[in-house]
Amino acid sequence: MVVSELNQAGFERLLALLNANEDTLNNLRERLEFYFLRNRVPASDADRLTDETISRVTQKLAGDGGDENPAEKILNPRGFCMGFAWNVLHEYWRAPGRETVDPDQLPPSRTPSYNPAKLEQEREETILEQHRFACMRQCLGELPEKERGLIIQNCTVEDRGKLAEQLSLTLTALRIRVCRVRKKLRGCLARCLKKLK
Amino acid sequence: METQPYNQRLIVRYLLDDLPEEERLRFEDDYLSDHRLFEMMQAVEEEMIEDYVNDRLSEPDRAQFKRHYIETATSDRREKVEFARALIAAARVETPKPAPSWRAGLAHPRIPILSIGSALAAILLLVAASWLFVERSRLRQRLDLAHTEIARREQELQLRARELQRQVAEQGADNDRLTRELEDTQKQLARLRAESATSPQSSSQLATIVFPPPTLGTGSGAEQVLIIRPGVNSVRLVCRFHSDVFESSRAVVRPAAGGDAIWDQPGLKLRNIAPGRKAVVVNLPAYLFTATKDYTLTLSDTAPTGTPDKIDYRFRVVKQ
Repeated sequence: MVVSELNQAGFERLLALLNANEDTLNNLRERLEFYFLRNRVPASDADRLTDETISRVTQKLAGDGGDENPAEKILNPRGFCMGFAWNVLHEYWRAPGRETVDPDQLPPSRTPSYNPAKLEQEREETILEQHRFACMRQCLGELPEKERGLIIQNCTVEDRGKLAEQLSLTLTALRIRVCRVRKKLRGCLARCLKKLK
Repeated sequence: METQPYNQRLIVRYLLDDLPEEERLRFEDDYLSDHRLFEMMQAVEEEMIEDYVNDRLSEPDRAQFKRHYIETATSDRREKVEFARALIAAARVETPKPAPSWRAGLAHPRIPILSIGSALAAILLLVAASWLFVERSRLRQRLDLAHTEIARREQELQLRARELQRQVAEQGADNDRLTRELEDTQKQLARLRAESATSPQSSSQLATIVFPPPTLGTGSGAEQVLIIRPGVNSVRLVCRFHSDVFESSRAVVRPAAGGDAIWDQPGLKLRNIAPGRKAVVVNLPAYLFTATKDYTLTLSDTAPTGTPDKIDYRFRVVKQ
């Protein structure tokens, strides 16, 4: 895979396009990373592929990129990333030594993340699980009262639709609020686990 | 390009790799362009993972979830499952504090308003039932006491009625006796009156003393004796005079030894008792003379005409 460099002029134009659509670079990175992870790219490679995608987008926006039609207009300003991301993904899988495998075809003992030292891993996972629980309790305690109540209710309630109704929210609005609280908890959890290592 | 609206089910199918290729590419194109859709998808994924941990997924979804997120999971998916496990475990331990707004307070699943209302209603019902029971017992007691009191009063009244009847009967008997006595007495009185009317007046009924006319400078002269026998009920004291010495006199009888007068009678006139003889006559009941002793009759002048103011007559009463 050709590793592209970030083009400053193209980067500026990318930022302008994102701002025009009330979007941010961080959000774009998050979406791209999710896309690669969804398509079974290991986490260690997903970040790299995200950077590659953004670099290629900036090259395109700058007007050069080595493709056959340098004057090609971006017909879909909002959807242009998809094409670049798709290409990057398929180049990744076509790289020598790497094969795409349908998970249904894998035997139970073979997984993309198969680790031969399974026992040691299980022991470490048990300890990690205990740390994770302790850190989660701490992080929940650090949340503002409303957010804390919201996330706990969402986890324990039977019907989220009724919860949304009681809080005078649409289900979508409830989901997004809870999602943002989870992001806070993830960040807190990661910091807490890092201190315990 | 506006992203088309997606429902939760389609997102779940994408997350479980259950969408046809064309739909999958279209969805990926849309969420890469639309951060709100992307957040929605993330939320649906997290909910799906929590539903798996809480064992709320349908069986087909659960099987697919296990295959894509557990058995063949990438590290990021495993990380998400572990995060959900830790969050739910911590949430079950933590008790959410009541939210400031009343709306959030309504959202607590463990204390629905209906249960509070039912519990309060049950408590009120229990209190009311207890009060009614106590009140009923108390009223029953009062009723019993009232019945007992009425029975006692009835008995008393019956006894009293019998007593009164007995007294009435006794009084009736007394009345009969008294009536008979009265009749006897009246008969005796009538008989005595009849005897009195037919028989002449005798010294046995009237005792008389006649005092001679007083001489000048002296009183009544020699002492007279008045014998009062049983049956005598009147005494007559006759004081004779030669001339009109009084127009009107006053007669007073008292014991000679002193003491209160037993008789005091004013306005006595001289009477003609015989030709050339005048007298003052004093009639008084015999019972006034209670014992044998001396008495004094004093005649005093109320219209003096030159004669002495008073004249004293001494007499002895002998009671037999």
